[in-house]
Amino acid sequence: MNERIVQFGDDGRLSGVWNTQRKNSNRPTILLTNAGIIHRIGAHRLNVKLARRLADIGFDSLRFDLSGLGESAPAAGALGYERQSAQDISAAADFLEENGRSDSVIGIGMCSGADNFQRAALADHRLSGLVLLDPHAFPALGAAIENMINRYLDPYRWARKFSELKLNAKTLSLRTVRSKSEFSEYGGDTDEQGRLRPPKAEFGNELRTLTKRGVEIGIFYTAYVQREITRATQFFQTFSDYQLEGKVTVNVNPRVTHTYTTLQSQNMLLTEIETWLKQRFTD
Amino acid sequence: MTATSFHFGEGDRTLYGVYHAPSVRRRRPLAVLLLNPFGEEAIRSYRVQKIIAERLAALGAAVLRFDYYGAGDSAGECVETSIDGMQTDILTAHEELIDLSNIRRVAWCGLGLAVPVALSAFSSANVNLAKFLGWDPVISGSEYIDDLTASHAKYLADALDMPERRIRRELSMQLTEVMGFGVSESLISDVVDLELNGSDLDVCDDVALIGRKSSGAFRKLHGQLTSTASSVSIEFDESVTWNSHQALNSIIVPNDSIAAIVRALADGDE
Repeated sequence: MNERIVQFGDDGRLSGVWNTQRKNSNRPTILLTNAGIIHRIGAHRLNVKLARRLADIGFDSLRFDLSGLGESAPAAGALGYERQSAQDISAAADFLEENGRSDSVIGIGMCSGADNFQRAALADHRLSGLVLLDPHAFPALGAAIENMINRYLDPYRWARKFSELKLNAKTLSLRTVRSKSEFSEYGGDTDEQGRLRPPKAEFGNELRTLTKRGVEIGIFYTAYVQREITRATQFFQTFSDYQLEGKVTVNVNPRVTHTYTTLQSQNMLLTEIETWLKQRFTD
Repeated sequence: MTATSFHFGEGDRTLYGVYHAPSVRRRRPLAVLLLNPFGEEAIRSYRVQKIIAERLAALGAAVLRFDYYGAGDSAGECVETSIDGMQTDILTAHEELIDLSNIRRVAWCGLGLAVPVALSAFSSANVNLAKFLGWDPVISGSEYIDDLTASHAKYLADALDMPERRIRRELSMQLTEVMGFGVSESLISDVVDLELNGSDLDVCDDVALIGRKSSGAFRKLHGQLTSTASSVSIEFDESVTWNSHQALNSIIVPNDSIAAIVRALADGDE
């Protein structure tokens, strides 16, 4: 096993596992970090599987815990979660550079991990690629129509929704209160899962900025956001003003869970990421 | 207090461990080996185990937590997990903890499937234990597999808006995965054969069990234990559990259980 436990960042506060083979030191190293507050191995150990699969095709990786998560100590300062996460990602890139690796890194992140890498890439130009697993999704008209048709045609959904009617009514009212009272100053809203979402323009502008800089971006959406998006074309319709078509690859699979629970979906994701990386970052 | 991550183990069976050195001010002659449950449950219990380790270390105990082969940051694939392998890893970690701490008074604290697995590891090896604590033990292996299957099916049904019946039907034909982790036929077969009895817990003079009041099997095991004078059983009925879907991404931990575990292992301190 070509894995080394490493400490880096201020006072060696951050903890990670560096999968390094020293074969292709000019290639970007893959950075993998927390999804939500799950420690660095990732949901269903997906980060470990990814790191080892990508090592087989010659990519080194560093999977690590952000400040205060997993094995990493909390930050001493008071930057706040978002800025601290970006700083931690930069600290990982610093560590790799100090150890003779390419100054180019690729971030693969799920959910909040995707948000963190996207944010970090805006500030740190060493991020040359992003694989975003369920980043923010924005309601598309096509998805609304498709979902409505599916709902009307599926008898199981009718039965299920009827039995959950009481619960849903309660949950929805709580979400409304939360989004109005807590997030109004932010300018964004919450998605169907209650996740804080930035304004569409902000998200689109960020992706446009990154693509203009030459950052390769691959987006993978799952059933988690199926109320917002069901097909890749809807993404480009939603962001038609941001010139992202042909610059960002989008894959939508409403038959897999947010965390890729089934082994089949995990294998499919690993293959897709492997192919995506090979096409963009190998000679 | 310091926590040090490291690799240990023999040959290709590289294991990932974290050693929590005891607080120098309150050092006590006790080394505690924390034993993870299986698969997804190990991820859900990660923070709980870490908190227990930190609290015990603060109370002066040396603590080692580790990932089995095929789990966490250790080498191997989950589908390679076996009961024999887990037992081997527990005994390897036991020796590692003694080497690191230079303390021979060792306690094992197992969670879920680790409880029956650790007890059979104990019976197959020449190990001296000062304490044994089982938290939420898997008592019936076949019921455990049924529970995992049901949990897997419910999670997929909720996440994909699919009929749970259909998923359960597919799983009952051939169980090759549960909650994101591959399982071998031999592992399922070995787990199904597990059946925990009160007599299995006769491993040392200080045994504690922590479980849920709502579990009939736990109440039964508790009943068997009360006839053993040296054993203590603590029951909890908590709304916050370590093993729910919500626990995966929640900062809330079952603090009453954690406190009870720390108290039981640290001779009443917490």
